[in-house]
Amino acid sequence: MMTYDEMYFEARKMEAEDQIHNLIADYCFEHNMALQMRYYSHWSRREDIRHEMPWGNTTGHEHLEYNNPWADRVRHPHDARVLPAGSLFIHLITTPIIEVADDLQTARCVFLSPGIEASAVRAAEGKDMGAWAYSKYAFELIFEDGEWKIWHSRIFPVFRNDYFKDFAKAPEADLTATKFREGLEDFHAFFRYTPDCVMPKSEPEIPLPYNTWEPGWNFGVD
Amino acid sequence: MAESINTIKAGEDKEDEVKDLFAANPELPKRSQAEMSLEFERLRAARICENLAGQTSYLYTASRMRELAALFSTGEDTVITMPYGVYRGADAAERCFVKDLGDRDDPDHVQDVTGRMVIRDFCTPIVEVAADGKTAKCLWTVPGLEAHPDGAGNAQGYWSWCKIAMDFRLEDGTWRIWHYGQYMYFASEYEQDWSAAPSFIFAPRNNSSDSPSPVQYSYTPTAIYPDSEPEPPLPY
Repeated sequence: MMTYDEMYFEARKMEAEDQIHNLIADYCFEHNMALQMRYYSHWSRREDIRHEMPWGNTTGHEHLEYNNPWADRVRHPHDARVLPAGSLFIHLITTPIIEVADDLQTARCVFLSPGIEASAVRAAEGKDMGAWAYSKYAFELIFEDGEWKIWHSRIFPVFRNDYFKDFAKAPEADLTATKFREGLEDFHAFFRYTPDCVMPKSEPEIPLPYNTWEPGWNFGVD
Repeated sequence: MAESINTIKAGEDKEDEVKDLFAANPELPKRSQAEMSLEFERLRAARICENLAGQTSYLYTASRMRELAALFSTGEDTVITMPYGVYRGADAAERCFVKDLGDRDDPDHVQDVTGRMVIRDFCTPIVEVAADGKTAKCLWTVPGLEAHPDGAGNAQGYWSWCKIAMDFRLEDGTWRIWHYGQYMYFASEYEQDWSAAPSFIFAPRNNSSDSPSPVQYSYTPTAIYPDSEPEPPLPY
């Protein structure tokens, strides 16, 4: 039989899991609406925050706002109207694994993210307007000032191909060629499906129950 | 880490807090400590089962089949229903995932693992933990995809949607997958309309299942969708 303290602990842990799930879902909706600046408010104020995207990584706050596709367009939390017409980004989160540390100070979570994108800009460039965009998300979060905040995040691309092109045949676009390179650091190679590939072992690594944060999980990659 | 309001208070003042809570809210149903304890264990069990389900997805995608098989019960009443066959017994998971589908580190299964991409998104969860907190019944809709090489240097993508039902059982303090069932909606080639194209079943080269799978639903313009494939779990 659980003691009152153990029950209280369980309640706080489940509350944390729900808050974290809502936080990440919030990010998805904000990305959907191109409210990227509002997304930044979800980040920890620590200077060792790390944001790893398919086109490069940033550490700290100085260049965080540049590590998004709309850095040159969105400057205000409510400035969705600046988003180009004919743009649509829907990135879902499914298959959650959320582990909150026993000390309730940090958490790790991973999600699959099937998604679609549409871009009139792409169509003007002669590409399909619609695209499938599948990836996986991994986060470390920290409890700060009474709220859960994103501390480290990594997006693992699976594929992003034009609507009419089979994801098993269309190579993943080289996203390092994108123009938003301000302040981006080291780039890690990411998975591309080919008929002779073996799926990555730990993209991301499954978080397991843990007592207190120690370095080393690093989303499962070196 | 700086102390935060998440720090747990310990000791007798917790009991006083509970008494104060009931005094202030007389309409709250009163439960004994044992009843509350069981309720929290059931809530935690639901979270654990959902995390385990997520693990099966990530491990399957990575062909980490030995680790996947280790999540299953080794009881004689373990049952795994795949679209191509049913496995039963203590070694059901070992045969289904390790022997037949193949682990990424097994040199005998290089051919099976290479080029195999299977991604299963677990959505629309129903998670029912038994009133006694010892078993759970769960169901998910799984819109997924697959890619398989054709042996000639090319590959084909498939939209592969199914339902996955899992029963879990608490064994020696650890939750294990007890029954596992995959029920297809369709698996159609990427370029084909899923409502008009043939649906595929991807059986492994080695198939050591104990019996054929029961006939499963597959969309056709004249097919009537079944009302219980499988039955959504209810509280029990």
